[in-house]
Amino acid sequence: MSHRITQTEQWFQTALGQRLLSAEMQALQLLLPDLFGYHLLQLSMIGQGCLLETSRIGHRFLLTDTLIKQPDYATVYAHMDALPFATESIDVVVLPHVLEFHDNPHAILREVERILVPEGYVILLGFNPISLWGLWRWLFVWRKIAPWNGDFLTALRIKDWLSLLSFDLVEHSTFFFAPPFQRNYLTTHSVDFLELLGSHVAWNFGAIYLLMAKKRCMTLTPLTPQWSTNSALFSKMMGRQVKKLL
Amino acid sequence: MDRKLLDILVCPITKGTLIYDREAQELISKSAKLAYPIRNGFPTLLPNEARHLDSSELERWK
Repeated sequence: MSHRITQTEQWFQTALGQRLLSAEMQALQLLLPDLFGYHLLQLSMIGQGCLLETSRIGHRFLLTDTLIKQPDYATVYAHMDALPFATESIDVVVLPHVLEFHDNPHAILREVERILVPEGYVILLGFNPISLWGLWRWLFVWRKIAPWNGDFLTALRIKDWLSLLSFDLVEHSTFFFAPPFQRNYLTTHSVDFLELLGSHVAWNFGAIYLLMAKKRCMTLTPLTPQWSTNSALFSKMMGRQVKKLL
Repeated sequence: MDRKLLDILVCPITKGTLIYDREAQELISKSAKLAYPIRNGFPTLLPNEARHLDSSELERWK
């Protein structure tokens, strides 16, 4: 598997990464408490489980394919495009910045669709290519450093993949309008102001997009035959015919 | 080993059921003929980390 995800996980420990992570935690805080079930899975080790903190689901765990000495959180080691879970077994799956750093993102989504229970939810967080961060990426793409070495996928493309896999889109939002500087030049007030301004003026061009989709399942309704014999009438008529004969 | 997790884990290659070997701390996949290790309580379901099972060992799990 690509080591780009490992690089990104490390990048999230930098000052800028931490700021981004707390913004993502705030965004998830609005959604996760309303989702219920038995099992909650996050692909990748981004945030070391802090992204899932606001969930009410009791059994939460992470999945990675890189062996770690002593993980702090319940972890399963497996490849993301060959998930070791039974079909229709997980209630909510969170994918923070997984698809853009993996060589085969469509295979991951297919596997996620397989393991989700009917009416289960998938939450995707991704870097938005149509944003200031998307432009910034073109300046640093040649340096091959995280997170600029990812293939930033547009939300439209992910939405298309989700609809292909029979998912219903529930939520689409973008956030984080601050520039991608490691040093924080902005005060808390100006960051809040940028967020407020961004959400009103450039609501679709935030650095991060969040998509939440629900697995749609078709249930079969057995068709009953349209014709039906009125048995009472039938027996009455038959009785008359028999009487005539006698 | 997390009991709740054990209920939903399957072999990543064949998607077949796994048998928990408590003594050896391994998860046995008869269909893939592999034994996946459990490291410090964390299941490692990576095929390149798994141990191949020979026929005598497979018979033990029949």
